[in-house]
Amino acid sequence: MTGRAVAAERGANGRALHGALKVSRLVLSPVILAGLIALPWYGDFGMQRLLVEVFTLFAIALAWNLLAGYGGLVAIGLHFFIGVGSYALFSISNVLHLNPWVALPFATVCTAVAALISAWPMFRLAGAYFAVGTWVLAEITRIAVLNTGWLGAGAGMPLEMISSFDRWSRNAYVYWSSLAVGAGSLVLTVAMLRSRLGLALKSVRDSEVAALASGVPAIHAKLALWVIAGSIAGTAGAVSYMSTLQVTPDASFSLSWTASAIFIVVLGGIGTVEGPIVGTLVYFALREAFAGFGSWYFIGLGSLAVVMMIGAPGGAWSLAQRFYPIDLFGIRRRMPVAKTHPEAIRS
Amino acid sequence: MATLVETLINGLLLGALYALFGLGLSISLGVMRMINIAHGDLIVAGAYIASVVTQGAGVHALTSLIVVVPVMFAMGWLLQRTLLNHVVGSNVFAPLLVTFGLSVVIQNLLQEVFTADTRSIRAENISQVGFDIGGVSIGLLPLLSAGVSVGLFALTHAIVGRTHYGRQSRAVADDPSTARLVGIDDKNFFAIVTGFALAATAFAAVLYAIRTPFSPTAGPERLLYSFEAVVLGGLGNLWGTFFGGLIIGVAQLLGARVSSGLGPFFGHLVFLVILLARPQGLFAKAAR
Amino acid sequence: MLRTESLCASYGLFQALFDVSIEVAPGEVVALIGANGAGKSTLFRSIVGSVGVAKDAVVLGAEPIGNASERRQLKRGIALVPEGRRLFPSLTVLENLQVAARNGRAGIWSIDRILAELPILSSLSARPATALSGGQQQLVAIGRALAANPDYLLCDEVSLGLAPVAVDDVYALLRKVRSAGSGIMIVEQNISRALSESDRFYCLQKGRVALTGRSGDADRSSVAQAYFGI
Repeated sequence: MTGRAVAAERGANGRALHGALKVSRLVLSPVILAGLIALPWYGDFGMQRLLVEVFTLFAIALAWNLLAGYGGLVAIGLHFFIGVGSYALFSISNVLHLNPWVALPFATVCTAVAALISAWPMFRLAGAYFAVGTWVLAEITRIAVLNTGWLGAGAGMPLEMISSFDRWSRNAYVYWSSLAVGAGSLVLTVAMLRSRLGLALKSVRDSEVAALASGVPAIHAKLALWVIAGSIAGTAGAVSYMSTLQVTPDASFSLSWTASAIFIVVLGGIGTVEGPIVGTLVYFALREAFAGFGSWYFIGLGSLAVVMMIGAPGGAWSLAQRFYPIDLFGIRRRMPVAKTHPEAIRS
Repeated sequence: MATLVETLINGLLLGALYALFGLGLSISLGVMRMINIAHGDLIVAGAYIASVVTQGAGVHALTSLIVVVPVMFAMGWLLQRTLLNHVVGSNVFAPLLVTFGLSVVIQNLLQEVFTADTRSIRAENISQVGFDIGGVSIGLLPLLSAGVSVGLFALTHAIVGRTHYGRQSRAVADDPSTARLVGIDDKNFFAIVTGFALAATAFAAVLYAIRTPFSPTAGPERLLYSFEAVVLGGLGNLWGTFFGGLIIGVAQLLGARVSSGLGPFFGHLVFLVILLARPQGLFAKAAR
Repeated sequence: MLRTESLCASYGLFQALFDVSIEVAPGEVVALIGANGAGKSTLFRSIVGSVGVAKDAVVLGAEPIGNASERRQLKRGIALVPEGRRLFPSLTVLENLQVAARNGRAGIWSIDRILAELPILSSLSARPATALSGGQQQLVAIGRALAANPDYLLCDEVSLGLAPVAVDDVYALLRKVRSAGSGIMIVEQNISRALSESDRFYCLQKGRVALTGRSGDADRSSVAQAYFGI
């Protein structure tokens, strides 16, 4: 790549980030953001815990959506990253006696490395096989952790270093971390999609054959996506377990993480950025409304997902778009439809 | 502790059961190019149906097959016709996500109806009987399961090779659009194929139910073993799935020798290692 | 009479056919010529149901039959021999015929009759279909379409890549089909061959009918003009 091209690419990516921040400002408008930041002073611990769940699950759904909607990689085993990220956080913090928030970036790095390593076997599979393959990956890791004594085996580990914080601070800092993770993932996602990587991904999504023929490095794009999405999920998982204070293999490597992410994305709309936002709101609204119904809630959720995939594969956002076409994040690129008038052939 | 030979033989017999789990998956994959995420849950559903029939009618577990097989055929037929036909052949997501949603629905329905407790089907005259062959102790149930598995694979092989439906399956598996061109009616045909896949799975479900205590959430693990058998064997290869299952069975029991909780772990590990070495599976689609 | 009336067909945003009206009568052979991309295959696929078109764009006798499924059209007696032959590799020659026969109509073209008309094939009937030579495969592909006993046979690029002797065999078979009463439309790259083997012809250029007429009267220069659009 020539120096000019590199500079142009950096410029393009820089502009993309700038643009993303500009646009995200619309949604994360200062008022809302300020209100959310100030929450620890007027909200109770229950509310904070709920929002930690909302923000972290939103980030995980964004990650799943990135993979599936923009990379064509349906990863049923996304919870692999959640387990890896949370265990990385807990073990680094416990072993090195590090402040959990200092350990968090290292946990992100660990997750990224796990993504790189796992890509080797996983990318040998495609489509549905990749989907279930990632699930095998999560399962094997779960069992490995379950049987590892120094990770606490079945009982898991507590987050020892967090006890040095008083309850108010702990709740507030975890809450703010989750807000940062949620908002940061959104900004990162939008920036990525508006960058050259995003364009590459979209071209691969539209037609991999054509993209490859045009020189788009499909494998690199997919790998980058896998690492980014995995890191987002891992970090979100780590923050989530900061909130629960104990990490166990069955909980952190649980399929229900991915299941929730899938429901959110399917309900909201795959392959859009607005979709996961809508989906998260709908998901939690439904959860709070139907919590008492036990299994029937999941039966309803599952049926809804089935019906949506068959009837409205674009999710709620695409349904809404039919009435109010908006592109909140300036990501969609519309090709002008050429009206062709071939001349009549004289016979 | 059991001898190594005994572990190997029992591994092969267990593997034959896993192969039978995978048979239904292999059929849908081959003909409709779809992984049914709910496959494992359907096995468990079959186990519950068998349990209900066995207890309700007071019959032996194997006799319950008379009911379970047609019921599961009908379930498969209905499933394909009402839901899955809408998503066949479209993008990668739709079949995966529809069957994922279905998986959640089935698991929770089973939980509602049968509670989360584990249960099993008692068939002492099979499960408690064993033979001593040359110093190796082998149970009747594993032998029976392996025999049923081989039999069903052979039957499927014969159907695929010699009957009209078999020819159509091969044609659709080769080239779906040209298959339509020669008039193969997707919708009804696919429904029959899924019905057959589930009917074969019914046998796996009953044998599994006798062998292992099951609960509503036992589905996903069955799916993973089925999937591993199919992928290891090589996609599109029927007998490949059989050998894939054998490999997983042996790997699991050898792993359990090392440490009793690590059976499935070794199965997954062997799967990943073979995948790294030979991504197309051990026996890729038989070249014609 | 099988007709299309002002048929328009598109692939997404790209329109491939504009107001195409053609017809073929039972017992006649009509050639469809045109450069690559002119829309010949699209026209066939529209008639046979692989590409969606308006219901009244395809008419059989007096009945509008457009936009039906391939199976429906087969039952109505319209069959396509696709470009590139597209035999099923996992099936033998005989099985390729059997699959089509079972899903088509009953009629004079039983599998025995098809194999009788093509003696070379009967000795090869148990071979995997794609193990045959190009010319033999083309015969099987036509036989497969015949097994459905169509009244109208559409043949897309039957001679592409075949040796002249093989092409002769193919056209010999088509003549037999025609004398049995079916109407045939052929897409043929070799213009002279197309004109000599057909009664009438249409020339497509960029999705429109640029020229039509009786093959015997065709004037080479006007055909070339219509073909190339000059």
